[in-house]
Amino acid sequence: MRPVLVVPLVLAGLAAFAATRAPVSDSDFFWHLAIGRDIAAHGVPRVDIYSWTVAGRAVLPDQWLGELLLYAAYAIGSWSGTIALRALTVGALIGIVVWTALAERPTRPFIAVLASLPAIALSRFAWTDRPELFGLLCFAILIALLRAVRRGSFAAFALCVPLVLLWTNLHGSYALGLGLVLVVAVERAVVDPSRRRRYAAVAIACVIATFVTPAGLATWTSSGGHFLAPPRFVQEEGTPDVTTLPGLLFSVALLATLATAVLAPRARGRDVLFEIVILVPVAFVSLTATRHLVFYPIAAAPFLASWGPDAFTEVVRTLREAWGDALRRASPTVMTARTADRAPRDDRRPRYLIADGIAAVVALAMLVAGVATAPRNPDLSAFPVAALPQLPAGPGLLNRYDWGGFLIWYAPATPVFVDGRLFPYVPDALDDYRAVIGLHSDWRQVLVKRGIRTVLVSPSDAIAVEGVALGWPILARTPEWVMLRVP
Amino acid sequence: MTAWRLAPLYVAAAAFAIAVSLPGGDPDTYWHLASGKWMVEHGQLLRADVFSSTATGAPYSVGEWLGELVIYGAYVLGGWAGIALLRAALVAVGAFFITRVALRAAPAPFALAVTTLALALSEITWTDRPQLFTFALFPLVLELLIVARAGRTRLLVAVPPLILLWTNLHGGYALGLALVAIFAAEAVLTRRNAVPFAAAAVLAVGASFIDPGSLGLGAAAAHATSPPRFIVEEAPPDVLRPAGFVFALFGLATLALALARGGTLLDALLLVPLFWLGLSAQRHMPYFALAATPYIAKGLSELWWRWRPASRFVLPRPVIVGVGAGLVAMVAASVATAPFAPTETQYPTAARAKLAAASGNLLNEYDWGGYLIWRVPERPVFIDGRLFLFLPDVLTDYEEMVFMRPGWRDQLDRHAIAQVLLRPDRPLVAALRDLGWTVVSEDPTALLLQRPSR
Repeated sequence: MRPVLVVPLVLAGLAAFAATRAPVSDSDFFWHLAIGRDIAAHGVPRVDIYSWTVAGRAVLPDQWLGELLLYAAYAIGSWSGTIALRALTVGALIGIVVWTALAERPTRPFIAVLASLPAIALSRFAWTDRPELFGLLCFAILIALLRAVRRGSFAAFALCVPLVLLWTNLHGSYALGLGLVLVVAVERAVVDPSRRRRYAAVAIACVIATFVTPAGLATWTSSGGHFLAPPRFVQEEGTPDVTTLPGLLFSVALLATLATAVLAPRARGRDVLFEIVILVPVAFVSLTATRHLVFYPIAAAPFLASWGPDAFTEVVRTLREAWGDALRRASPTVMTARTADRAPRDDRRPRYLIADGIAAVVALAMLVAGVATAPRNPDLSAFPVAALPQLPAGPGLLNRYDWGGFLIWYAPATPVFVDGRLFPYVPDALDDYRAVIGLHSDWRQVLVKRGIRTVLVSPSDAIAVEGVALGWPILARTPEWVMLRVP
Repeated sequence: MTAWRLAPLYVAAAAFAIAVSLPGGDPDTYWHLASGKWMVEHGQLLRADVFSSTATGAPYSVGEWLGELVIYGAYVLGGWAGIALLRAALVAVGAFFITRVALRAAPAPFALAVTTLALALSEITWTDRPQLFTFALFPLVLELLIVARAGRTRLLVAVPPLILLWTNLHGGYALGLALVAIFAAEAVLTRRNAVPFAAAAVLAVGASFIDPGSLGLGAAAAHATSPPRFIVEEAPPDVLRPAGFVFALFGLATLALALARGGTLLDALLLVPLFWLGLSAQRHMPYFALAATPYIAKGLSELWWRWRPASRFVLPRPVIVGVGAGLVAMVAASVATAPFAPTETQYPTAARAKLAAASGNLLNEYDWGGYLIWRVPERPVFIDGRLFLFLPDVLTDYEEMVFMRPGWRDQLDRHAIAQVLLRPDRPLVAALRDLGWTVVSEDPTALLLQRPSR
């Protein structure tokens, strides 16, 4: 049985519309865009060509397809094309999350939406123009496929192979997907031993698929290294904080799952192992870094949709037993039989198909309207735009980490000291960057060793304060940035 | 009585032996000691700052007065050895009661395995501070409530006095109140012993106000929801580090077992909020682990018996006697060989003499404030671990100067800073050297700079 698509489609349309409201502004987007442009022009790059500190050093093309997609959208529709791609991806992501939850309890769309809310709200923080968003979409698709596998569809499991292949070339988060495929394969082999060879074959095919990328074996070391040793100084790689909004949303999903699992009397039986192998590893991954928080609510939404009402019913039953008639009168509509919620419905009836069709048109209209009215230009207020004409050509500029991507795109004649690609700069260039910008004890030696001629930093950075105090010539200055010439 | 009934005693002895061997040296220990000393010498509660140059006379919470007096009393009686023995005794009390709690839920092998892991995680809180009283009292109150819930409701009369004591020892009493409230809520919702539990909860809340300077529940809640993140123990758990990983193990094991076998309303009421609390800051992680210990031990034992229904766990008497004798020897050896003196390699020990001989206002590292209060009492500190006393102005000024934000020179002048005692890699150190400040003392840990005479 197929759940009616009206609710997922309408929410997808709304999310797509909402995603078009923000202009292009992500710093990392610009270097992704530059790489995409160079891939389109010259093929996949293997060495760095954007910096002067690590120029010629090998770089990992592990997101090449995502970058190419971003550039293709830009080439087709300029900044509107970028926003359209973002909106399309966000719409698909939200639609699939809600659909997956709805598939667990098709006659209860309100429950599905409620269960998906933490995922929807938290995904908002990932609506950026980066390959990461494609990775998130792949994750949502994988969860939908794996839950279909739990319901008995082997075809859904086979579809994981092309998904993993695509994902591996889009973004490094594929490693999470591969891990889930492997543990579900083991779980299926235990639950459904008659098909264990087929599950094993799919799992092996998925592993092989991860090597079909220009990065080859290195894509594994990249993902693994990033996962096990996230650079904590990058905000999104920081430890998850449940006192912030993203952390709070994550904790709502996590604790709702725990409460549901403790209280729901029927959340056991044959599917126990499946829920454990999906939810427990994803919960751990989400706990590793702020940017990973969104994975858990997506994985948990179907479970919450499926068992949340039963947990609620159990609490009400407990209260009824204790407090008798008073409560029974107060909550006459509480569900008592889960099976009744799952009464099959013939989704091929014309009225459902018409409703689905209308919802699809509405969603598409919202997407188009959103793109048509989206901001036409990027928001560059966080970047040193006015400094661009005065930037010296060639090597010698020390720029703020956050501005590297912007400079790569807007000032190609001035190679950067450091940018959001981070890993090519680890450890030496990044250490030197920190030594200078934070005025460590060896900052003067680094200045000389690297041959830094100009610094473009925030006025509150220690090097700016010290440079001004030392009388370095100020080439340009605003409240947000200052450019100093090193004597 | 089976041999396993001795397990809490054995675990407590092992915990004592380990805890007494740990080196002291927590920066906050020193200012707690100094506070206790001041109260004894002056015969009154310390209600205002007397240790800093930036907040002299400013009132601050005296909610931990009793904890500070007990710590100072241990120091007076036995020096640093007294502090170490107090630490070990409190850890042993906590270990004893959490083992009893676990043994009530599950057979000994499972109870002991999970308890050991929980105690290993809790090691991050085994510092010589009043928070150690919370570590000891949390399992005690938990066991008391569990036993009362099982029918011995008369034990609830002990709850209000315990909360009264806890309130005056450490601000973590809010955890005790939360435990009592959770058990009371479950009792009321299920209408089982509702009246005694509700009465105990009301009296406990009342008892928590009998404190000369309690933080108050509102302050405790505010602290939990907006902890000062720049302090390591107040930072969120990092599951890729050992302690955070063990915490994650507890959280994920709880989730997995909940999915596998469910639980009770009390399990949900207890585990869900404490899991959130553990996620909120590293210092709170152990309390979730302690509360989850019986649940996990029980779940694991059930899974084991589903797999091996005929299992029996019996220890031969010689083994029990042997382990007991070994533990006695271990405790004796630990006490005999423990490095009672605190480890102070992370402090500016080399600068102490120069610092004591100098005068004027000092700008010091935040982490060294407590150490300086105790070791160089003649020099008031700029800032120390009593954080809330310095919020927001002093801390802002401190960061402005140390990290060289615009206006740092004005702040340096405004506070009339005569010496700066910082780590060598601080931006301010590089700048002050450029400005001609004199290096009075220098080692890999610290640099003492003196303002040049005008």
